[in-house]
Amino acid sequence: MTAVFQPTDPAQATTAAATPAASLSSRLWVNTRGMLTPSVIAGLAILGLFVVIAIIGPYIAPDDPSATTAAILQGPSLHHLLGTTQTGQDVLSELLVGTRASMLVAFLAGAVATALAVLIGTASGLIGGLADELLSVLTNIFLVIPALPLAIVLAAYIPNGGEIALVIVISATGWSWSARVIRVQALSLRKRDYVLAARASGESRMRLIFVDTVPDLLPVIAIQFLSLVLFAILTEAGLAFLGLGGTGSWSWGNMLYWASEDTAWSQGAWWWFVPPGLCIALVGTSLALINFGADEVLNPRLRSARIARSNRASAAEPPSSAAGPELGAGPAAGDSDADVLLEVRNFTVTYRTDDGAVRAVRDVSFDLHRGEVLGIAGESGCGKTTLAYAICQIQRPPAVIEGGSLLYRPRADAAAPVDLLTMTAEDRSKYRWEEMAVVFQSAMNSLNPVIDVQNQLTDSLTSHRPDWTKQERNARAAEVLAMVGISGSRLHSYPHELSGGMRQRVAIAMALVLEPSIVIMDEPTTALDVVVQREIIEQLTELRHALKFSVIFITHDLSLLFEFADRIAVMYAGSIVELGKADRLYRQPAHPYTLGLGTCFPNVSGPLKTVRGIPGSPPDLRSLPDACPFEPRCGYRLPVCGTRQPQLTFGRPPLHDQTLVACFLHDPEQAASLPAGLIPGQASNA
Amino acid sequence: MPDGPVLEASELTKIFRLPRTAANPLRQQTLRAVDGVSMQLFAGATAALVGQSGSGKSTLVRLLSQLEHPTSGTIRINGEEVSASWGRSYRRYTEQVQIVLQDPYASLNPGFRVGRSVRRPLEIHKVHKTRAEREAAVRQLLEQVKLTPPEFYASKFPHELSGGQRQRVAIARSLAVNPKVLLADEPVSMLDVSVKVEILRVLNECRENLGLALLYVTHDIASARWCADTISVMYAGQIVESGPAEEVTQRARHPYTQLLIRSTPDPASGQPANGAKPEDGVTQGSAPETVGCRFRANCPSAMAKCAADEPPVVPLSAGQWVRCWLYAPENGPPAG
Repeated sequence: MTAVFQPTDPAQATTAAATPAASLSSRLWVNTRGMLTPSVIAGLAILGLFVVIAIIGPYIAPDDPSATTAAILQGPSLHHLLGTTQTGQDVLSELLVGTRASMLVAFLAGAVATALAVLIGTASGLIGGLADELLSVLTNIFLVIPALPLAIVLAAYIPNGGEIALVIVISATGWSWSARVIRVQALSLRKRDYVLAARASGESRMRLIFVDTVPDLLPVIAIQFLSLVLFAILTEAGLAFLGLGGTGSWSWGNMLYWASEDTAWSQGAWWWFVPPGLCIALVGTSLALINFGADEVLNPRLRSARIARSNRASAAEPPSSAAGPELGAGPAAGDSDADVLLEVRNFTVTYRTDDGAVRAVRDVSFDLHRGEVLGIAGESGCGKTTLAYAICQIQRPPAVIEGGSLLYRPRADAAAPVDLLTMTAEDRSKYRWEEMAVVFQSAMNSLNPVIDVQNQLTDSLTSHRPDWTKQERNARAAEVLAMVGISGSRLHSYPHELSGGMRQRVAIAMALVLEPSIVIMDEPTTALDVVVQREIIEQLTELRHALKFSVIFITHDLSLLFEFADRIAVMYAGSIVELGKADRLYRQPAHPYTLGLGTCFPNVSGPLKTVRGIPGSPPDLRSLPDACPFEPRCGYRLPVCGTRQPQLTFGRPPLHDQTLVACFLHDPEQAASLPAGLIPGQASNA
Repeated sequence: MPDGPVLEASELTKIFRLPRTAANPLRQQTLRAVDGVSMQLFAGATAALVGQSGSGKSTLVRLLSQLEHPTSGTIRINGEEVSASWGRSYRRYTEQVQIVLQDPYASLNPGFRVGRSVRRPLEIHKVHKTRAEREAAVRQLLEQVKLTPPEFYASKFPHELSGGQRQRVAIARSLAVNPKVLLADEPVSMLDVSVKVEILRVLNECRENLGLALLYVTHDIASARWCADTISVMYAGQIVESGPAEEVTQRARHPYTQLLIRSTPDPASGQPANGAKPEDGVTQGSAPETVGCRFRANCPSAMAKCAADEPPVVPLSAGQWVRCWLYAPENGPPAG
């Protein structure tokens, strides 16, 4: 059996997976395209307009803004498009000339304040120690002083200083908050592994700061700059309005100051104060729009929320049931219906991303029997977690259930099974946790840190068992905690007082509290040590014999499943490639992938077996060819494997009736072309 | 190369000060993360360090790489005692001792192309005179870790590579300066099952071809058996058992090593023996006991002596030794 295994060239397989087409330029293009959301485009357009006015404003102004005329306080007319002031000055000219001063002060102050914030923030965050503490104290002092009153006081001490004074005052009052943001970011960068790795390779301290960390701060700095410009434009207007901006030059704030001095409001001269106010509001809006857009790009979480919004309509549609009548007799044949608790048919889940549809779960069908542990194994990215989430219908956008059916048979004698995909939202929330509960890999880290164990456990009882008394609920909490092997003295402990293993046990107890008939476990022990993992697995084995619930146990650790599961489904590239009894899969793996997975882990007892592994890496789920997805990595490939996809069918004798396998080696039509003894699963490798 | 160890640590101890708690603000609590560990790494050999998380094995790696400094104890490289943290002496140390970190998704600068990450150590240590020589060296390093064609991978950003490919890049980077010692801190624990084997093979090949002294730190004793010459088992900051890989895994003496082996999933072993199951699970944190044997609270064979005195280091055959009272000469031949 080992002699026929011919590993393919790993380089060939890995190259195919590394998406060679994605060059840097196309990546950048995609990024900028993703960044140009409608809000960013609108913001840039408005800001661009004002920048142009700031440059050419003084040249296109129809009049000298300071020249007084006899036409006092006139409304908009052809001669004075925006009317005149109390002293007969042209409002449009004042506005056009004032744009330059306002924008100049805003951008200069923004730049100076950003520079201050970067200097103090990075120094504080990257050098650390005493420097950090002193600079933090300085930053905090400036933070607690309200900026506008400070600016007013400062401006009063620099009388008639004009724009330069304004820039100094605004940057001195605005930098502190940004410095703090940048410090926090720099602190987290300093702790990153790649900075540690650079240090371990002998990099000097200066280069660590300026080459390895500061470039990663640029996005944050850019956003802080925009925020500071916004702050500057508002502060400038505020100071000038109070008459602290120097009255010698024209700016939007100055115009408001004069309008207020000359009681434009009470005289109804709206044309005097509305235009500068509108300009300030427009520039502020444009900066805010750009900031939101940039935030969305830099924060992937906000981005997926956007995709979620655009997908909501389609996700809400009930998926079409593609299950044909022949499927009932398909993979499930041989099992009496009464034994089947959950029937998954032609289940397909797709991630609708910007880069195209990722078909994470493709046409998956299996049965979960009463009281069994069904293991689902596979490498990361094979779709096993997506499948688990979708079965519970807690998949998050952009994941969408595209088709298939989920039939649940709560009791063996129930006439009609319940279709979980078409049930109402109200039924679904009742069914969830009551009938089907989940334990996640990170469950131990997702316990609420401020709630004690007892309240974590009674939480779902409060909503699902409203008629129970508090005593009954607490008694049940103590009962399930004892079930998972934790003493009652821990009921009032908080999550941080428990070890990782105990927290994971609490998460399992939470899943069991309503006595569900299905418990889905997604890598529940992967984050734990082997000793703790062993204890939890033994506990689970006892519990499911006592409570008779069924388990779908998802893990990448096939050796764990061989010991713990009754049946195992092996997934590859979103589909099940082999499904059968655990001991059968261990002794006679039928699919070359299962065979390969079995040779990936060394054994600790007995003579050391050959560890072979699987060359290459899984395919890109965005562009699956119409072929066996395992074909590039397979040591047994036939000519037919590159031409179409194998279907999940019964294996050849002696695997008949025992194992379902998706591989042409087990296709009767290919039998003639196969040399004897080549088919995996036909010779025992135990 | 003389027969002595390339890297030798003697009696390394690292004590961390814990933050004062609100309940007991006056008492400064400390944590002995690494407690009197001695270790020798030889050229061309792989030593495995096995332990649960919190056993102090990562701290030990940081001490050995001089990223942190021991509270007491010494590190010798080629017989010469070294203590350096920045500057030229540290740079010279990194020329000899390199480290591969656990998480390949975090250990490469996301803004640097692969070629730049691998080339950087060559520039820092001025290994080559000309740019062309450096480029050739980068190509050769990438080929060494089986990233072929090297030109293709050198132009990639980390996010364009899979976890296994990234870890190969990290290995290539650590080999750039031609180190004598490679400290691999859980190099495969974040990777997929099928990739783990490949990465361990690459490490093994590099050790063989370059005569590296390799320290393989892991929580998986089965993989240590497969790829290491010697295994040291660490518990609560101390090495409790050490010896040739086959001896330690097939004739484990320390009750903790036995528990570790029993707990490892192994379909070949049939049904696992039921070990002691202490209530609330085995304590994971470091130094659960400060006097006597650290493991005694979880040990099925604990005796009165284990609580009173520190267990002795008992030498066994074939270079194996164990830190346990069960095997002390005055106890006669061990019962278990």
